[in-house]
Amino acid sequence: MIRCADVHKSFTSGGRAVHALRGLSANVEQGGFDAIMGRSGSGKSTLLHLLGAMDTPDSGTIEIGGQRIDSFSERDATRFRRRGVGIVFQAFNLVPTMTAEENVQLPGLLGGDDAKFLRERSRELLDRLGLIDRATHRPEALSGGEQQRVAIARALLYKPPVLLADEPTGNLDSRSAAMVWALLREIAGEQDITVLMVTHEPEAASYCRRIFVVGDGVVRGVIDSEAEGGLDAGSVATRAQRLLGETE
Amino acid sequence: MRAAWRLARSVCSARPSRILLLAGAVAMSTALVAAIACAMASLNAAVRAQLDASVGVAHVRVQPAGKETMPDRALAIIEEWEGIERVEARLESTLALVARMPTMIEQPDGSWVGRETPYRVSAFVTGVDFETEFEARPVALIAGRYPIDENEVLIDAALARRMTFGDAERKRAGKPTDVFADPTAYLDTEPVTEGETAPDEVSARARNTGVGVRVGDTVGVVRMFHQRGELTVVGIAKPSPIGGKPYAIVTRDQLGALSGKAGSVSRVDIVLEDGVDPEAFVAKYEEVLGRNVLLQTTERITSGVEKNLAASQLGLVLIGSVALMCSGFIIMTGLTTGVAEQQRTLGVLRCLGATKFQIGASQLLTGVLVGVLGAVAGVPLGIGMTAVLANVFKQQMPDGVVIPKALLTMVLFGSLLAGVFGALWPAWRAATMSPLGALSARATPASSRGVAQLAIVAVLMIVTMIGIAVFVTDSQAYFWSYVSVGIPAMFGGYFLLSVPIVVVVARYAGPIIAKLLRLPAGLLTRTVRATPYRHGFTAGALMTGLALMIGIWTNGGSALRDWVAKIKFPDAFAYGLPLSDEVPGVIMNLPSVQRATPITLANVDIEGLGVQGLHQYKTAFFGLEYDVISEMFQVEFVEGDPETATERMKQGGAVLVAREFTAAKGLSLGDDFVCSYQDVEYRFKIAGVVTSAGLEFISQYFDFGDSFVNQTIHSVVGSRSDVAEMFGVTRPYIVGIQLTPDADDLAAVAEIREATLGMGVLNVGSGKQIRAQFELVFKTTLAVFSTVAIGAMLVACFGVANLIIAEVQSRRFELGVIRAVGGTRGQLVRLVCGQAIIIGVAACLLGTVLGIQAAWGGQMLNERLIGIQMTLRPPYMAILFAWGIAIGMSLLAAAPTAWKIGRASPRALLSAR
Repeated sequence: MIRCADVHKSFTSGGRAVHALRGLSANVEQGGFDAIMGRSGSGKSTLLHLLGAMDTPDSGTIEIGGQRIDSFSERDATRFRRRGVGIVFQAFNLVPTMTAEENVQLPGLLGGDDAKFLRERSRELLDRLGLIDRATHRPEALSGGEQQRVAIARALLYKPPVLLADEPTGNLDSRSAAMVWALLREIAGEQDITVLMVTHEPEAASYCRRIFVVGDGVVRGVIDSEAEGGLDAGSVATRAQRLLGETE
Repeated sequence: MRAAWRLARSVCSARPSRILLLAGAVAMSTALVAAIACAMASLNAAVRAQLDASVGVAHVRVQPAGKETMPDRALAIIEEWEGIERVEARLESTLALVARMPTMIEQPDGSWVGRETPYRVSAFVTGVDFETEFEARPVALIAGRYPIDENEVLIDAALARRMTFGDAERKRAGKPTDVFADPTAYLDTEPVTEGETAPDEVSARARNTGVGVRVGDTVGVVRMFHQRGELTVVGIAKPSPIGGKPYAIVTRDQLGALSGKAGSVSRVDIVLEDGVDPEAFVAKYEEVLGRNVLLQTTERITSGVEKNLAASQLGLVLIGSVALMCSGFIIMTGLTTGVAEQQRTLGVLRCLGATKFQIGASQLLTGVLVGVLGAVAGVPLGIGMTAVLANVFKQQMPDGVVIPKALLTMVLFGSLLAGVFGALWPAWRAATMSPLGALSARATPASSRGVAQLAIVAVLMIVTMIGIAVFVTDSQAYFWSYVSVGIPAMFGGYFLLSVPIVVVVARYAGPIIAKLLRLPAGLLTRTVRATPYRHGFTAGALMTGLALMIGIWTNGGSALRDWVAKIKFPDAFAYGLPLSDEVPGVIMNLPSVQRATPITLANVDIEGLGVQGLHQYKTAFFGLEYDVISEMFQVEFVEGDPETATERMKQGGAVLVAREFTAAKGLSLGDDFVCSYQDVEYRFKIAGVVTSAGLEFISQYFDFGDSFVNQTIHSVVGSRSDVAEMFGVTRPYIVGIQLTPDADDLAAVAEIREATLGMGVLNVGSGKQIRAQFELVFKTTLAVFSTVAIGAMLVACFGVANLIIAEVQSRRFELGVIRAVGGTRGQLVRLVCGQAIIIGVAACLLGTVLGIQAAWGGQMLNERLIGIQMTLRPPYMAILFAWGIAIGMSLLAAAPTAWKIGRASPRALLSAR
């Protein structure tokens, strides 16, 4: 489903050159809930941005569902972000002046899609995620967990083949976080969507099928939790440390 | 205080571009006010210079009462008086001059050849003592030197202009004189020589731009159709700054010989010794020379102008207050936005122990800093702007920029006050924020209750102004209450009203604008409605310039339409100071003339017009044959009728008054018209109230500078016998001319000019020319004031730019999310532009209503103070044009930010958190 080959990406920050990705290669299979895990500054968020066509790599190739997204034009990238991928951020996902329902419809509103379709689809998604009673509420009236669920509903508006989540539970309490992880796993299983979550938390990664451990801009190794019958957070942490430590 | 200062520095260094934008707004505002102050000071200096040229350093003036001249033996008597340092005698007369200069003329075969051509002009000539004159009254020269010998003459540039090919062409075409053009531009082109040829008309006309009198040329003096002498032009002086009679200076003896007034003087100016009181001097000697001679202090001559110049400062204070209030609101909006952005930081500081005073003081210090930066940049910028104006209007501002130190100091302090005023609200908000509340990440929407309360206060303030205009009918009480309460309440009210209006515009026009910009409606409108105060006050700042423009055009258009356009001038006029008695007869005998009537003039003092204590006006008292008033001047009787009025005026002691007197002083048919002339009070019965005959326009057209110095306003008409008997004025100043129905007015004017050369006629003009000249001056003045209004809008653009930057900065991550979920670059750009358009539309609505209301208030003021009645008819095309400028400027201010945000990648926007 997702293929990255020798991807390089650098940018300037505070006057210094930062080499975020240094020849990263990875293959993510269709369906399933996978994680990209690594320490702060390892390049995982940069990778997510590239996968979401929010940025372009300096070199290397990125394919999603057979499309070469690294060579998208600005127009193609925008269209891809609207319909080809769903994105959930850590916080401040929602437009504060719009209701929950309008936030779910946002990609469609931006694309000028049919109002009736948007209305029906958004209500369907909110209902599915248990938020239909909150449809007309603004973000300041929703809890953190509710806001993230609205963001997930928005990401699913056009049933994209890929859903990317960048530290989606970073601002949530443990109970809300667990709800979100479970939801993402459920979505991946039910709708055959590839859900890729960036996290630094072993507990979050323990919900995932496979965990890509990223360090110093490359994939250090892959932990196949599914093959091992599911790993707990401690096991994930140990193996990740080993993958990162073996190469140091 | 040190902590507060460190906090303020940190605020400024964290957002330097935003602070600079705010400072830029203050600087522009300060520059505008400083430029107006300098321009007014420069123009006032020009007026004073004109007064000084007339009065010089003399303390006392002796002049004949009601006559042109007095015997020069009076000099010998005066010189015997005690306390005199110096005596300056002057003789004044009108002379016809003719200069013969080669001009490119088209020949029968189509070629162009230089041939000697006469250029005839009437000039106001002053005869002086060369040895003392230029020391006492130095004259600025454009070319040449002061005259020394008897047969030498100094002419001014306005007179020189009259003897150019260009001016002759304009007169032939009936075009008004371009009073703003350089009168001696012809000196830059080589003169045409006799026999010179040109290949075609274009090059011939180009060469003719150099035809004009130069230093070294001789001019002939014509009197009663004969050349009486020749004078050599040795110098060309700068023209009078505010216009006036084109003049020449020769010796007194020479003028006496040329004009037939040998042995006479027109006036004697006396410079007293130090310590001699002029009033006491006048009281001691005023009876010595008899009733036919008037002795008065020069302070009495100039006091009216001085008072009125001082009164004009009040206008400056008003303009300055509004402009600086505008920049204060821009600062308030900018700093309040900053407080909202720094909410979490301020919360952390409070949690760490910062006091409310320290937090509040840091905002005040930021405001002061912005004010200081703005003032320091703005005052020199304003002086620079005036310097540019002075370069363009060299004649009107001959001494360049005059820097009024006291006024500019006030402007400086005003800017600082704007900074402090603007920082008060954000300082209070920052200081009273609860630490925990500030740390809360959620933005709270603006309360609609707060907006509604603001709307109520705003409406009350606006209604206060309306109440003053409707219920305070006494002119003096109205002026003071309007200026001190009405105007501030009106402007303040509209500023506050800008917040609810922006909400309304976002709600009702926002969806339409969003549709036009292809944006989701909610995205645009709710963004604006979420922060109504910032958007509202920014619109309020933009509205001020628009209101100024609309107010100026409304009243300017009304003045032209309801006042100037309604005056039905006679076909032509001849003007002199005064005219010889033969002139009306000579004109009457011309084939194109149906009727010529002589008109005498005395400027009388009146009470009750303008603001008591601030203004002092005269009015022009015209004497003419009563039966011509309604026939030749086509006046309409507002009260009374022509037959009864004519009968009453035949008996003497009766006048017709302009209807403006009814409006301003409540005078009516049968009431007494009271005036004074040379300190003697006179009463006349009002025999009729009429529409203006335009006679006061005639004297201003021909002699604007001295009319301005006399500060005459409106006119009354009496019989010639009354003017002669009561004021001692017997010779006419104006001849009103009715042409035959088939006469061409331009040809007739040329014929009259030719026929009356050398008879004391200074100028001849047609009614159409006079109207065209006034309309040109009006429209030029409107254009100048419009640039001030555009300047005010430019100031507000800084506020718009600052708001947009702040908005985009605070929503950067949100904009990144929009891009991440499929928003295009263009949509973000259009979103920013949409905000600017909503601000612009709100400003247009507010500015239009404010401008019309201000115009209405101004019309009330004019009517009550000086009786000019106008109807309120907003100029719709001009309003639409102003709307275009305002919305365009708002978009322009937002453009850099919109462009920047459009270029940013989604990742760059997202990483800004």
